[in-house]
Amino acid sequence: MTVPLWYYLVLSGLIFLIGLVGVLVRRNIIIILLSIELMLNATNINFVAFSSYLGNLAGQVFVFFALTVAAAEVAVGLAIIIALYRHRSSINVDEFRLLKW
Amino acid sequence: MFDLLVLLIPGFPLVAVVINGLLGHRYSRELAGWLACGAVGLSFLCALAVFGDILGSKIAREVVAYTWIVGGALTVNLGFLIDSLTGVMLLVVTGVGLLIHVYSLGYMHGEEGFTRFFVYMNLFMVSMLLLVMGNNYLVLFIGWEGVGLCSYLLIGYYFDRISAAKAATKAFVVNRIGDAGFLLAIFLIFANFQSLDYTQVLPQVHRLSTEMATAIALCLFIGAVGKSAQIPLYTWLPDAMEGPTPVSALIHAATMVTAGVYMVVRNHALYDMAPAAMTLVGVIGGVTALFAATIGLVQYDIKRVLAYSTVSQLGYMFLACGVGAYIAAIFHLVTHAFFKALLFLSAGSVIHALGGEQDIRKMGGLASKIPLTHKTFLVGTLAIAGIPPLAGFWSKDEIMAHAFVHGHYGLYALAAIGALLTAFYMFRLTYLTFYGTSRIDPHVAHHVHESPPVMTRPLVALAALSIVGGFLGVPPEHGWMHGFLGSVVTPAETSSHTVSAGVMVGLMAFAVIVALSGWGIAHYLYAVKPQAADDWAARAPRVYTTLLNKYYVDELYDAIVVEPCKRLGRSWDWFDFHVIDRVVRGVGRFADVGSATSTWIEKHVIYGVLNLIAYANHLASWSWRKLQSGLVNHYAAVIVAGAFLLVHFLLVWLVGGTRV
Amino acid sequence: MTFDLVLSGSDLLLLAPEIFLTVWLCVVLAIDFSIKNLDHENIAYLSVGGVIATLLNLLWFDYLGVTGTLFHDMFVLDRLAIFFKIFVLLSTVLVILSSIDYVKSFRFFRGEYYFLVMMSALGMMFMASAHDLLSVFVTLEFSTFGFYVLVAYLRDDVKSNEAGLKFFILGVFAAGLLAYGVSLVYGETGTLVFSEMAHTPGSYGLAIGFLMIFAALGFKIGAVPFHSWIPDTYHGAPTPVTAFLSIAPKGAAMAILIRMFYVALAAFKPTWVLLFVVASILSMTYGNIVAIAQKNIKRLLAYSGIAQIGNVLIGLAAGTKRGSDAILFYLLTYLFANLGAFAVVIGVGNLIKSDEIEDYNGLNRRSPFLAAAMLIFLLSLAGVPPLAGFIGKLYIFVAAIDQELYTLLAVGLINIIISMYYYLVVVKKMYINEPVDPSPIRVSIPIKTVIYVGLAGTLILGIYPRPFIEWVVAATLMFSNVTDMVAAALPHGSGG
Repeated sequence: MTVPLWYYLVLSGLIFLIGLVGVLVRRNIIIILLSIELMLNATNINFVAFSSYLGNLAGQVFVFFALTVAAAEVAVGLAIIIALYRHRSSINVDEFRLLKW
Repeated sequence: MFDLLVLLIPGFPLVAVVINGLLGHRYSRELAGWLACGAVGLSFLCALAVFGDILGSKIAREVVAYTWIVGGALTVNLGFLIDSLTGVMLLVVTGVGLLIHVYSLGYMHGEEGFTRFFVYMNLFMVSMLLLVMGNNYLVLFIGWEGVGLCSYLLIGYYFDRISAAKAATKAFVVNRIGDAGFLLAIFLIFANFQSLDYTQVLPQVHRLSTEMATAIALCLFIGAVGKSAQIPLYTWLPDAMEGPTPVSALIHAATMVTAGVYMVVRNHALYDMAPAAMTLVGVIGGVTALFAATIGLVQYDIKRVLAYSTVSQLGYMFLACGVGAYIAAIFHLVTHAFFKALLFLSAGSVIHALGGEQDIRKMGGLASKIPLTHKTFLVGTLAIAGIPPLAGFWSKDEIMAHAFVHGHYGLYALAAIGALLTAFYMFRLTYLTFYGTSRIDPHVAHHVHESPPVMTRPLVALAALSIVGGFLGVPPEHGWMHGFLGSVVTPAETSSHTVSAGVMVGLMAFAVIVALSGWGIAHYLYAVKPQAADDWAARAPRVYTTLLNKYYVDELYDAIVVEPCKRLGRSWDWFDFHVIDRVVRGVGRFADVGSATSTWIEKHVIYGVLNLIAYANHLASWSWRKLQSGLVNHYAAVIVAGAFLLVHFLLVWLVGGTRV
Repeated sequence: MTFDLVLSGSDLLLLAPEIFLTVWLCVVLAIDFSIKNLDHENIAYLSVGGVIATLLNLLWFDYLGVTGTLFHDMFVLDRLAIFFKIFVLLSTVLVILSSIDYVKSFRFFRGEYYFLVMMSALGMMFMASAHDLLSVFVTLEFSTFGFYVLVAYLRDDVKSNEAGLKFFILGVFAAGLLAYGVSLVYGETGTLVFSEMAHTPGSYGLAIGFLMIFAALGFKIGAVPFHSWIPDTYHGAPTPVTAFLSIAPKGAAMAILIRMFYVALAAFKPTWVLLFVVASILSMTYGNIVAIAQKNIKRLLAYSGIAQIGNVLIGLAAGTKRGSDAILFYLLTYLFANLGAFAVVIGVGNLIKSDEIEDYNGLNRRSPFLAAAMLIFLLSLAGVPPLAGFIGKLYIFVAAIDQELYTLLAVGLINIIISMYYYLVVVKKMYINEPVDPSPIRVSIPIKTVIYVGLAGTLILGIYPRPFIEWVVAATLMFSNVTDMVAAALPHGSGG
């Protein structure tokens, strides 16, 4: 018995939504970053599912690139977070509202 | 040879701009001044030669400098159309321009930024020449914007005066409103004709529907209203008097402000197609003529009186366009250029003599101290008041007679009352300035001196033109001017209203009576019984203060347009912060929505609305801080909300029955 | 689909500019590492030399008419790609030149700055050639990574860090949306290549997918409602980075937008025209109105940039060959005026250490050259003839008239008036107000060079735009049948 395609789509949709809401409501930068990772991983589920369903490899290739990009994002992101932490001893986005008007 | 001459007309001032602009600080200011004047003089000579050529051949010729824009259907040349209308405008612009340049050498002597002044003036000449010479709407528009920019720079010339800065900005922004209308007209023309050349568009206008012709004509007229300071966009012109007086004479009296009239006459074929638009042009012109004249009655600044008189006289020109008397409009444009330039330059000479004083309450009795200026100013006054046989009489009479003969009695009445008021306030100005007892500040009084010859000679030349200029159009409707312009500006109705000579003479006589009564009243009030004027003012204080405050139009515009725009910029951010963010946060937190909503609405929406309505003073200060919340989650929320709205919008639209 | 990679020498030729720049920036980095006490100015000029060499290479390609595709249509080199590569590299040269003085104030990592700028430029060059959704995703992220670091480059400056944080989070967030959108499109069409999507039937999945991709690209160009990062990031970032950010990514993203909508989605034009109409009206109105209330020149230029992008979107809303011509030309005019204005801001900022508009009071007395240059740039941005910006707006509006988008035209014209107001406020401050400190401002030679290039571009594109128009018309030649494609798709539609 194969799992129908829409099971995967619902799963990835839910994960994507969780990530999205996380970005909107959480204040801790690390959690926001993790939420964005969730969004990207939801994408990967989609790609793998579609790729298998369509019998087309392009989707799986995309996943490799998406993983690479995500890794690079984390690297850059953590560097910025460290720099911020040095200034404020905090990684709460509420603390960083200097630029606003 | 002809082509070269045409290109040299704007070419000389342009070269002077480049040389003076780049190298002006390397040599003496006198040299820079003479270079600027020389360039305009050469350009005047070229204009004369070109004019002589048109006079002989009477055919319109196009001269293309180069292809400016190509691409798809849009091809625009930087080209010039030389016909009799352009010829007349060329002579006025370069001739009067030359006299004012020479005058400026004396007037601006010793001012800081002398070279800068002449660079701007020459740049203005280039733009104005492009405006009148262009063979398509886009070149006209460049000139149009160029003169606006130079006007901005020159109004703000005395940058140490705050009022000058404000006036300059006001002039530019108000003009941009008109320009938007003009641009829209250009785009509509392009959409209809796929071309912007006069020679392609104007002979084809009969293909347009009346509605489209009216739309284009009205859009063009919006542009003209802005540039030529008609109701409701006239407010910038009186403020523009903050600029140096030669600027007021050249730009805000003789040339730039008449660009709107030139444009309407140039497009008269279009207006003939659109009777509704013509009626509007006539009514706006007539009402402005009267309205501005009433404000002019009570002003105390010598230049402001002249500014309102300019607005009023421009109203006459539009009135002429509105009743189909296009040649009369150009005729009045020419005579007005002579006598108004004369009046402004004479006023400049008075101000020069008094060391900068502009308030006529602090003048009086100057006739004997500066006799030459007095005489030229008097000539100007007689000319504008319509005393025959000076220039203003013939052109104004022709406009009024045309309106009367063609059955526009309402407009005729407006014009006639306006003429009475014109005569009155101009003689009031003359009496208060030159006659009666001296009210001059004693510290200033012993410095009063006649201006140097470099200033008075242009005055004399302009005075002579103001005296004889009217004979270009004598006899009315059949003068030299009419024959010359007839080839370009063919009157709309071919059926000539044959009017008996008796009616014409009667109308002239009436015009003379009107002008003389205006003079008479002024003479009574300011020479015979000087306190009577104050009595009259005291008897109707409300009318007087309304007039003195220019019908409060500036305040009205501030309240309904300028302030709300500024507030909107700030309150929009307030909305961003308080409404969008709160909504987003509300959704994000899920809880407490119900109970919070009512208090939230009370606190923020009602308070916000009250603030918006009241423009409470503190709103500005605290809403500033809320421009953008600064919280990164909110920014993400805005993106999501935007994407969601777009998706929603698109889906609704798709479900609406259209294919994806 | 097979992934055989057969590359011949002539294929690699298509990649020559990118390969050259890659090698060059590695060399620059190596030199910076290996030679101690090397003045960073030398690194800057070395970088400029490399970028200019790449630029010349591309100009030569353009002259020869070199075109082709690589890697199964993932990478395409056509005249459109060459145009945008030249666009990106031109802005890179100007940005590097205007950075030199600014970089002097860095305490460390001076040489790496130029490396990162070139790295981003390299990413944007690839963006201009992206012809499928995978390369869109990868190149977009590639170019943005450099910017994440550059925006937060002033490590000791809280503002710069905060700007970097906001830009990073929102940028990665947009990348998430982009990836998810791509996955939906892939699921619906079974392909990632633009040209292969051209004939797929429409569906909701496709519509939502492309909207998410549009959101990510809209984020890049700063179109409302995806603009929220722009003001804060522009404000906090080092000014030369702001200048770079305000022009190059917009051009590169616009290349992708044009390709995506003109090639992949040509058949759905009636639908997306509406999308761009809405985005354009929102961007112009929001950008211009909020700009009025700004007190910082960088924020003012940020909002003005949002409004300018609204104008560019009018061209996309027209959706015709003429629309794309207009976009390309408009971007060129924007490049010169905007980078010129930023060069003035950098020049002033280097000396007075402030970007507040108040501090521009009396600039005319302190440096007539800077004030006059700023005046010309602002007037061009406002669209005053005969400067470049006017011709750009004219083209955009003519394209809109062609498609009878009169509402858009009217909104655009009203916005021109509004924009005049805040540009004039700056002009007024420069020319009319009294300076607090009347000491003259001296401008260094590199910044002067940038300003002269900006002035020359602004004047030449205004007075003699013909060769440039011919260039952009040639660059979009492949879209001359874009209206036919719509027409072919329409007959069986229910009223489009």
